[in-house]
Amino acid sequence: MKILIVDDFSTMRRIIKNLLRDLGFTNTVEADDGKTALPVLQAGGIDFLITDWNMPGMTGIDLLKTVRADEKLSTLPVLMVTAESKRDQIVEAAQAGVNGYIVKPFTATTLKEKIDKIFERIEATG
Amino acid sequence: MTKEQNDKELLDNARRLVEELEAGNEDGISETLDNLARLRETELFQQLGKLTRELHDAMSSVELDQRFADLAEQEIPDAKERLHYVISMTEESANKTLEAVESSLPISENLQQTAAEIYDDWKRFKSREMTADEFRKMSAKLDVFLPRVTEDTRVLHQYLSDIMMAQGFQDLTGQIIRRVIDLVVDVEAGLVELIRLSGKRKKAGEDKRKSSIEAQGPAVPNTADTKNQVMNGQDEVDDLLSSLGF
Repeated sequence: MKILIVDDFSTMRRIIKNLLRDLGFTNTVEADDGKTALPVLQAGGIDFLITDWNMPGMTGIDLLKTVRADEKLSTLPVLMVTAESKRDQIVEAAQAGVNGYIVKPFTATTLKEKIDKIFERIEATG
Repeated sequence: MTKEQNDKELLDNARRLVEELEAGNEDGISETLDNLARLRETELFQQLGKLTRELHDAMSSVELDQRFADLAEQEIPDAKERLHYVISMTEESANKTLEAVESSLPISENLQQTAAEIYDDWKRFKSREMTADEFRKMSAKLDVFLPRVTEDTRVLHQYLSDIMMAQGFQDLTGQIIRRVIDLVVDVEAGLVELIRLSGKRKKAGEDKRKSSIEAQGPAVPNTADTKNQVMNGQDEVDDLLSSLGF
């Protein structure tokens, strides 16, 4: 399981990386916005995407939309971890096909719950 | 051309026109008439230019007034609120970190001390300096110590995780501070424009408000952020998502 973590703040990438390691996911790569994340995704081998929303260059919502529109990546599980907490934004992310949405500040338990839930769903739908 | 110059030229041309008429010089008449017409036009254009400039200045100062009013009434107090929020977030993170450290230190000191004691016993045991009674005591100590190590290191791991999570403030406050920096840049631009009031015309009717899905960073209480419907915490987000069929 290879996970790509996209956030413009390196401190947040480090926190998520450490939390994932605690949960047993040791294979992670990082990118600092949608623009740098896309080539990594397109190169293949990423099984799970965790992305922030508010980033310079390309935002997380645009990254999500681009991923969903890409034939090869369209089924990639995407978890958003963001401080954006307005109703319209969450609706927008849901409509764009996000698999999970976590608002910052969050806890280790929340991250674990959401990741577990995404995998449960993927297994259920085959 | 000043008004005096203009008037003098008009008068000169008028005198010459009379002379040319009296002399019956047709070429001269036509030339002086052209000169007079040109002078009249120049004056008209100058007046028109002046009027346009005055109108333009009046208009741009009205726009600027509105921008400054927005800054003073809404955006500066908003920015102050944001910066206060940054202070309270950093304070909270610092306190969480310090609490976790203060709770961890006695645990690690205790582990270290007991482990050192047992290690001394163990060295004596290996060099066969230990009586059977002392061995039983060391054995009893180990029985207590080993499960405690397991439990204490689990607690320490939790405290370390708390410290790590508390560092999330850097991202959140960073996003808020970036917005305040944007405002400072706006104020700077406004001041520069105020200085060159007569400068280029501003783009009219530019809507500065952001669409409700554009990224804005963390919602700060008591600011314009809360005008839109904001989810308070993960539970509300989860409720909303489940209402959307998630």
